[in-house]
Amino acid sequence: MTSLRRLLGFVLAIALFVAVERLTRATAGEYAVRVLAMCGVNAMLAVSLNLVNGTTGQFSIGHAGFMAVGAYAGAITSHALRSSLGHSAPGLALLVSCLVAIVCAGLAGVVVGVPSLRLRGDYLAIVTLGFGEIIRISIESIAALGGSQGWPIGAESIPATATLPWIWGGALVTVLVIGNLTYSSYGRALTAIREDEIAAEAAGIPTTRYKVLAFAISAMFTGLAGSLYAHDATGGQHIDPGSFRLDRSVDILVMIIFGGLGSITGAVLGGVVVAVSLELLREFQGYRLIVYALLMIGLMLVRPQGLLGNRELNVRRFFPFKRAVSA
Amino acid sequence: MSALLSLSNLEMAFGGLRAVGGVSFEVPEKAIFGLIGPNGAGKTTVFNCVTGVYAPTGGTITFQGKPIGGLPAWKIADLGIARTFQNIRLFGQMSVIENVLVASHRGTKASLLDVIARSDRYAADDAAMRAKAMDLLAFFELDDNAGQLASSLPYGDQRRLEIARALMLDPRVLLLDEPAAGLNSAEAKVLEGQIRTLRDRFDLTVVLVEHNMQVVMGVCEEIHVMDRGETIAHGVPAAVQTDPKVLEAYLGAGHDAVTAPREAPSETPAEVLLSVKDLQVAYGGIQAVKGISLEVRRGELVALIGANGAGKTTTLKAIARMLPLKAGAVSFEGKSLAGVEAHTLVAMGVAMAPEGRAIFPNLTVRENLEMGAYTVDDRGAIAARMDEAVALFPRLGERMAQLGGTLSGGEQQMLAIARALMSGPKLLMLDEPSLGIAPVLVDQIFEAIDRIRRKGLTILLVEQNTRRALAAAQRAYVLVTGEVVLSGDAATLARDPRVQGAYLGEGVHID
Repeated sequence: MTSLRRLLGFVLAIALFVAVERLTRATAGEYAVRVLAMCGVNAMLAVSLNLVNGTTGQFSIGHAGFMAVGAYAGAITSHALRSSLGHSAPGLALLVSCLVAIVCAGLAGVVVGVPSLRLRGDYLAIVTLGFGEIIRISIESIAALGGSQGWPIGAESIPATATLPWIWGGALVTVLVIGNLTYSSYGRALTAIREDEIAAEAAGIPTTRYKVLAFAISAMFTGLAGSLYAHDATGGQHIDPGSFRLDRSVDILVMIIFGGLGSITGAVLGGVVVAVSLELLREFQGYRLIVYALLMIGLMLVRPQGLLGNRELNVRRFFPFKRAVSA
Repeated sequence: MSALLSLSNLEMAFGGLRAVGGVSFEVPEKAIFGLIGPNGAGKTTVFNCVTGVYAPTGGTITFQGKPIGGLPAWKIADLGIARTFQNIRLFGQMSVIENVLVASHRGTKASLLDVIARSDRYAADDAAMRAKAMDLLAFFELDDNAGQLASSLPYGDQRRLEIARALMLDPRVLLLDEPAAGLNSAEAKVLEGQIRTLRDRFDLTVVLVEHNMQVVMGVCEEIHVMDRGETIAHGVPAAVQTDPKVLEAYLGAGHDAVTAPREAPSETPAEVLLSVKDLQVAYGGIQAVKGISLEVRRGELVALIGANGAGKTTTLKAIARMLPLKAGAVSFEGKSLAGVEAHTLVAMGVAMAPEGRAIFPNLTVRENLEMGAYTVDDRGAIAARMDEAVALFPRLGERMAQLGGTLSGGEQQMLAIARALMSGPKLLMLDEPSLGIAPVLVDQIFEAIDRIRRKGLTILLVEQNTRRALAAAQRAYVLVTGEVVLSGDAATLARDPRVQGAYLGEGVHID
């Protein structure tokens, strides 16, 4: 009964997203749809990173690497599917591509997480930064992946199948899964690790295992974001390693600090605010990044804990995970 | 009676330092067992080995017949050994009930998929854990605070919440690390009863590390005494309390040491240099100093003695303006120190050699001494004081170019004292100059202190080694849990049995 109701809710949400896309395109044009798509991708990235940096209190600045893994894995999968299946069932092809991206990025998360999560603080940051760069540079030096020219090679392009409902649907799934995880006994264990690792161990929590778990799940949804980014119908249908530099990792970090570390709704908000403000600032042209940086400094002076701090927006009515918590 | 937990020849070394060297004992099932010893005895290290924070470097730990030494902490917690921490480790930004629920995570039957899908199994599991956590909170009278942030609880409640969290693991053994720290004697009395109730109600074996002897002697059925990483006594409270080795460990060796010859008391007492009135200091919710008054006259050596946690160092730090006062007044040479900052105090003539030495490890001995003279502009005076320091501690002269961090503990203590003297103080405050130092060097340091005093410098000495402190001082104040319980002439106090009581918990009544 409950699962039926949840499915219905999800279908309704997708229908709503379709309506939003149509309406936006009709009234504000293609450009506005593109910004909304970026908001969705950012939200996924931010919510994923927040699980590691906010909830678990570890410090990763290498998530652009997992996004790259997801983007390439997804794009290559849909390329392979297209050559074998042709253009039939594009939705199914995108779904499969995204699943492959999630699995690949998750595996990369485990591979990076197992050795590095024994470290703490600054050391962990440096190691994740290093791994992120290793992933990008490896892609760059593999000719079959197009090297620094990007993928796909030649005149071909990635299928433009990820429309706004897909991207926002992905963001919704990300929020639901990570939200349910965060507000559960597992999430409590992760938060306990952030608060005091020694006490968490003494309370029976295998901290290393849980940190790797959080890192892997975070990488999985970062990979999903990467795949949807690669297939973004409003994007360039082309990916290159230059999109997954350290700046990207720093951008995601800015989103969660903006929104408030440890808050899922804050991460969504941070992702949206960053995407929208970077677009609104376009009229400053060359000074855009300077104005953006000044805004950032201003926010940190006024609200050092981020827009929402570590609290959630009151979303009880919309999201089942809050209800289960306060029951 | 079978042993539930047993340690055999347990050893724990950190680099070259042996914190625990071959400790063996057995904790019988359902016992309330005390592990005591002076500061630095290695008690908490034993706890940390048993609970898997450290992997022991030697010996075995057996729990329910199985070796557990070196297992990860979470595994040991899972097997049934729960603990609390000396300096309270709660998850501050989580609510009270969540703190307790964290410890239920190992018992959860819900899988990751149940959690993500919010299945019925998850809901049932969550409800059961919450009910259990609320029962525990109710037992500790914390159920009304369940939704509050743990960090916002008052100190005593935080201690009880830590025990509640430990009990959520359904342990067989509960290790309590200084549960009475920061409690007054009435609260400590209540704690004794609570420990017994816990044992009976939760079917526990309780092991406690505790400095409050009133609690230890009142509640423990068996006591193991350690000093410098080794066992020095074991038995029932009454036997341990009168054991000469235990007395020596707590009160310090050297009771045969010749008492420093005292000058006949001068006819007119010297003027008061330092005066402390009704000093109160609190750390968060803990009232560490509860209204201490004392005075130090010019040319005197006054000792501040008392067991660990009595508030000696806190008093000293408050005088040195390193801690904010909750109430009371401190004046030096008749001037109030309210509003004076720590670094200005040095220029006014108060210097301190802090507990743990706090020398600059990456500066040479000479540079350390020069830093002590930071407030002095006269180069000639600096050079003269440097010579005096070397005359006082010839060892420092041999090591002028060596890095401070490479000195032995005793040499570092010498350096800390010499550095304090470099500012040319009128009052020298020494915090635990014998702590963690080999006996030979302790002799040298106390000789030097005596020479400094003879030159006419006023000294306020905080010291755990009571016998040495009383031998060196003219007057002394005895502190128990933040209050002065005895004071007077040092020679008289040295013969007063109540001083012993202040350490080992008998016969001291605070009126």
